[in-house]
Amino acid sequence: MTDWELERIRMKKYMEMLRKMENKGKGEERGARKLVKVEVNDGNFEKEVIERSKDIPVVVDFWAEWCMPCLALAPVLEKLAKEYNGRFVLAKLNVDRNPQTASRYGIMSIPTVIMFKNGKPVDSFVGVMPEPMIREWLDRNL
Amino acid sequence: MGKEMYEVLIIGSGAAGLSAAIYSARYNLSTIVLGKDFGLASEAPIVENYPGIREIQGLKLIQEMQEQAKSLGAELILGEEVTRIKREKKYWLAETHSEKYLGKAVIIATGSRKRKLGIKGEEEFVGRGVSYCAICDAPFYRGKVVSVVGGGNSALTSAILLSEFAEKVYLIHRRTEFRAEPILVDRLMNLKKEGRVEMKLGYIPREIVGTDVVEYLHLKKVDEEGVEEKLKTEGIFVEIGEVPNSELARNLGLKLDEEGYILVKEDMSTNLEGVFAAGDVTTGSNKLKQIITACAEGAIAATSAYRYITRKYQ
Repeated sequence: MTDWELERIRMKKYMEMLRKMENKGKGEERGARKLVKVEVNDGNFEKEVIERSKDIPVVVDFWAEWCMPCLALAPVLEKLAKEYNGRFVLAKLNVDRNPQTASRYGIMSIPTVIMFKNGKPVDSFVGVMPEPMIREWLDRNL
Repeated sequence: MGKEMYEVLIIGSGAAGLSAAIYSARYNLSTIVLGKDFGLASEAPIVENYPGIREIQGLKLIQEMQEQAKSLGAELILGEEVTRIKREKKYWLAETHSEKYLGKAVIIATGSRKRKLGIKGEEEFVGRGVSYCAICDAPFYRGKVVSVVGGGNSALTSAILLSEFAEKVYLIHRRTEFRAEPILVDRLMNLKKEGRVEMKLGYIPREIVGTDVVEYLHLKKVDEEGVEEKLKTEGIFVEIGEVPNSELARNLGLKLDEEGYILVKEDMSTNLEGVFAAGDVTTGSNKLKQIITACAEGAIAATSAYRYITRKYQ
């Protein structure tokens, strides 16, 4: 391996690390190039969900660490968000740390998933659904 | 879409599937676990009867088992629901929505799911007062009046957990005696004395009523015709037992008993050669549905799979 190749690998790793750190700071994750996932809270819900949903549908996953069905649903939603690459943004809201937003939308069971369009909730589902059903739900609402 | 080849395919990632994976990996068999969720044990608010661990959250215990299986070399794919298992020449093929996996032996550990009440209003109010997971949703009922339906360990554990959040807990049970462990019944009786739990024994739910969210649960007396009661309640937690997740097994051609459990022999083998089963979905362990029996069945199933593969392929 030449020095040049080594240098290129080093640069690539460095860029990856930078990107990861950047994403961590904002709680954001990008697919090929578009924003696919964002962490939201009581403070930024208005901007990150309501306002954003006027441009692009936002799917909010209301979850908590103590809830295993939430932990089982999360990877499926994340996989779909990446695959749909920017057709919607997945927003994760921890109900434990953000009780205001959870109660504003009357969350009584988690996981609850709500799709926002044009600043308003348009459809929702509760509990773990199989992947094809979530796909169908997304396609119906997007 | 390639087909990945393993020695042991384990369908289900609860206590039985993960225990089978731990044993299978230690037999140096290439092992993959395909699971759509973490199984019912992970929903137990607290587990106090798993020897060696005085108390632990169900989810924590399952996560420990996952880590243990992974560290031994088993592969874990979670969030992947197996939609079909079938024979492919001399192997077994498991299909998910997007992938295919081949195995020399398969262990079905698909567990069970919560039984529904099957009454008016139940479907309508899921997520708006009706819940099947007390530990997930208990914090939403702080200071409210809730009802738990059932009389087994899960129902009593849920009622005890909910009493820490709710202002009052009704326990609705169709019999006057409990199936639950006496230690749980004692705790429930103490909560009753403190006025935090009220029993409705000999009643069954008839209808769930509300406008936006649950407001009332209508009950009727089991042995007295026409005796009904309206309970004002904001949450209804359903804990009336489980039904086996045996649809995959049935479609594969496994023999089930009249309640839908997979018929297994002592070595966890089924009526199909190379197909084993473990945990809540089987008739094993005298149908005692506990984490410890699920683990034991997983260990036996993996050992039988090991013996089968050794005999057949070497």
